[in-house]
Amino acid sequence: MANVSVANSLQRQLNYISKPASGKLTLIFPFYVKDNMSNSSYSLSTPIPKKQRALILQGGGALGAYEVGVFRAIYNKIIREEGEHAEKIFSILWQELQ
Amino acid sequence: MAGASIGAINAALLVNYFLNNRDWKDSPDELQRFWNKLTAQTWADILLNNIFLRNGWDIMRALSNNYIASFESVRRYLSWKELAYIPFLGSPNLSWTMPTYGSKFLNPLEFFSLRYDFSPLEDILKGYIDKLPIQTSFDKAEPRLLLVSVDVQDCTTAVTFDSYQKFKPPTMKNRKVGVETGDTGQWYSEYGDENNKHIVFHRGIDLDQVLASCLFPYAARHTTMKDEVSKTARTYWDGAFLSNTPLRELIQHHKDFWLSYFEKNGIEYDKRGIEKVEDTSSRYQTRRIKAVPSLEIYIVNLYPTIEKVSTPPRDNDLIDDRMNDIRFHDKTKYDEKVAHMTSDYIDMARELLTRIGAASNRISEYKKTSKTKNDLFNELEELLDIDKVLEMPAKTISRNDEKRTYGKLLKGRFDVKVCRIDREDDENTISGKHSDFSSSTIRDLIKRGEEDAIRSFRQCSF
Repeated sequence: MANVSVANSLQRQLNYISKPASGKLTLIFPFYVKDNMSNSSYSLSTPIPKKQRALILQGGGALGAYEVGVFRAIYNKIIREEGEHAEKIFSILWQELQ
Repeated sequence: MAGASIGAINAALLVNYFLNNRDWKDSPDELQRFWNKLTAQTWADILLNNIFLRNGWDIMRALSNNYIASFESVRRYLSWKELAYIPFLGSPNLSWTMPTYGSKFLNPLEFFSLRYDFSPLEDILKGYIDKLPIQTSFDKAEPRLLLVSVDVQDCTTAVTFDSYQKFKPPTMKNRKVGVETGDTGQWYSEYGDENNKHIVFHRGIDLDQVLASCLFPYAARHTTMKDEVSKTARTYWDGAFLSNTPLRELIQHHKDFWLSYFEKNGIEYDKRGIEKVEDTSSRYQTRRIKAVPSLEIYIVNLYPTIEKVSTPPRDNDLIDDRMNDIRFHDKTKYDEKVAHMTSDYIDMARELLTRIGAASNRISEYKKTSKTKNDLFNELEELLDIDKVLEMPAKTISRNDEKRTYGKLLKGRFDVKVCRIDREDDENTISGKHSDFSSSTIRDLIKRGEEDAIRSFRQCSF
């Protein structure tokens, strides 16, 4: 299933998709992406993700300790749901490349 | 990661951890280690850890019909007073309490006041954050750090310090400000409104920016930076006072970054949603182009929105406590709603444009194939000219004093989803809860944070 999803996503990357895909892609492809539909060609070391994840931490002095527990829970949730690869996922969510 | 005040410190520590290890494994432990260091052992913690005292106090409390505080509240209260109000003492890894003398009103009751020297915190931060200044980049798949602060003398908008560099030099009434660095990009923050604009340069997130975001008004020293517009030195206070939940700042910076990133790299991006393909096929065709990534946001709200007790607070300490809750709690639900509504309007406008485009195409095709010469078709084509509408001027102007067109309003649309983790009201709460760094309080907060987050996830859509 994962291989199919990966192959599909690669295909979409190269052929330029016309419909958003629903499958999850949890691998990073650090290859060059060429936009074959526009006049400009460009190369990116990091592909543009479809989603990114952000964490907003409030101020509150000693109450900031609460954020330590929350962060641990969020971290565990992401690792559980998205697997080992989620280690990278905190910075940028690589769910599906555009 | 976006943070204000202590949230800025936590966020900076986590990003620093990533930069050292290139992944997030064990990052929760790193944060925990830092907090173990920040924790203070208080006399109240030691002396009140006594079953006889507790029982005695509980009896007194029952006799007073719960007029006096709970034993746990007393422990927190005494810890707070010990850490924040005894001159020449303080929290060993946070601050020293320094007395100052004099009252401009010649009021003998106010002759002594307190200031806080945060050099212990500076030292501990220097030890834990070794990648200063924190400069990160999307191209290296590094996280972004946004810290929020407030300019003491102009609180029109919050000041956001960004670890990602900007690709364009700042402009002021179409004139470049500061040092020109070409294509390499630079770090700067722009804030204020069109009449009072400020631009300060920095080198990423340095200790000064972290301290600017977290040092509260009674600190002995504050960060100052030079404003390139007014050429004056600006002083910064704890960002929590203006924007303790920087959702708006995050959304704005996310959009700004991606639009400038697309432009810098010559990437054709989402300007009006589904773009028309200029080809010879008979039907109106659509394709997707690069768009600003959607955002999944976790917000940690430390100040309870809803009070558990049914009666309003009557004693001064609970009144002060509730005042702080009201001042600092998460007020971004409206901002979130506005963001969703703006997206809805943009979607509607784009849907209309798509349909008008399709209709216009059909008319042109029909004109070509049927070879009829009808003025009505020409008139319709004229009416359905989308580009004319998109070039019409909007009433609002951008922060760079640039005039907007309707077309510009449709650029860079993205979805936002928010998951909130709210700290619930606590029956033993005290007004000085932000200054109680005693070990049992910190331990309890960490535990509750984890439990509450797990509970909150059930209500989140992601």
